[in-house]
Amino acid sequence: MSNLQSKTKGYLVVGSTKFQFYKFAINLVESIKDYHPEAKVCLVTEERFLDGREKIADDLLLCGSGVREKLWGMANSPYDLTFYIDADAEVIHEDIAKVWDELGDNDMVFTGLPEDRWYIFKDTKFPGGTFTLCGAVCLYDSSNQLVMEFMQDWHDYYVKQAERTWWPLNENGHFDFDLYPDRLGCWDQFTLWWLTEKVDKYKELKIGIFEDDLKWNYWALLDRIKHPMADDVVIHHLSCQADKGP
Amino acid sequence: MSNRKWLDNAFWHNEEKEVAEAILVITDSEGREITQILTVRKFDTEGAINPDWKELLDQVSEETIEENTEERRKRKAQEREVEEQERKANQKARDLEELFDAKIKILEIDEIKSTENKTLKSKLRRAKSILEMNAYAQLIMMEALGVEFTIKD
Repeated sequence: MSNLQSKTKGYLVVGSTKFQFYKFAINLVESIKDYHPEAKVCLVTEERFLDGREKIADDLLLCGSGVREKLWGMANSPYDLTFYIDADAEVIHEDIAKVWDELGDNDMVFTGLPEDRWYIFKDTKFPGGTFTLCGAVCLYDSSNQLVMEFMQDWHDYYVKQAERTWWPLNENGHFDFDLYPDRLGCWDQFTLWWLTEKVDKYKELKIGIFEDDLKWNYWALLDRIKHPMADDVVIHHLSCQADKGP
Repeated sequence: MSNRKWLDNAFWHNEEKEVAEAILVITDSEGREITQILTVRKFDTEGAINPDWKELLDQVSEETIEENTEERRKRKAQEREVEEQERKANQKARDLEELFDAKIKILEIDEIKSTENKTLKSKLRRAKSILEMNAYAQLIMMEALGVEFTIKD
């Protein structure tokens, strides 16, 4: 615990590719500071979007305009412990300041993808496996070299996957679209699944799921009868419905 | 020779108990079944007892029809309650999406974007409805335009 306390802690928010995501990101950073005024926040964005509002962030990382700058940002966190949050979310509870306790003895903590929530996701099950981790938020020990190599690989594999210059191979040495259908290629979720499930190098990483994971990422699309929104939900994730225009 | 069987899930269609909804299964001489969902009236147009009615009550007792009606009434009420809860829950989700969308747009207004008044901006962001959000937006605009007021935090 003392080790945890001596580490620098900060939130990481990425707003790239579209100006709309920059606006979401600024709103998220401000909402973090509303509920955790002492928080350190790193904003990852593109230089072309800067309009003065970025000064709300304590640290600024300028990224490219590639497909998943989120993953690049995660691999370049300036903090020892990092809590990444998708930009199209909002912090709505002061328990955000307690998120660091959730790491426990894990190296990374995600929210889960249990079967009773599959109805809000496009892809969860495929012939070669089932997604179990959701990458919308991620608490990780960014002082751990292996964790940061994981984040870098998550980025690098995803970029190649999106270009189809990398894909799992079948026994004949060809891309295995039977076990891993081509449609999965657009999801960084697939890269996350591949790295956590199939790459030996990362087997020793301790990967956990938040104990009360809906508290840390409550999807606006969830059926509120099946999954009531508790009063202590910390992160409200708006994603799919909100205007994601240019 | 055909065989007529009324299923035992019939229920009253009106409070006077002179109309029932029932399912009749007719099996013809070759064993083929024809199922009909019927609204059965107690009296025909001339005021005589409808033979279908008599047959229905002979096969399915009045007591059973009474129980079915009560069970159906409770089930329907429960279904309506669940539907209403779902409707309210979906509406709440839609309202929150709209609120978020409106907030992102209102935060683009120059005076609001650049306000130094963190208290009001924070209250705007925490607003639970578009009306509340607009009220805080208005206060920020008033301040930017030089209208004086004080805030009790």
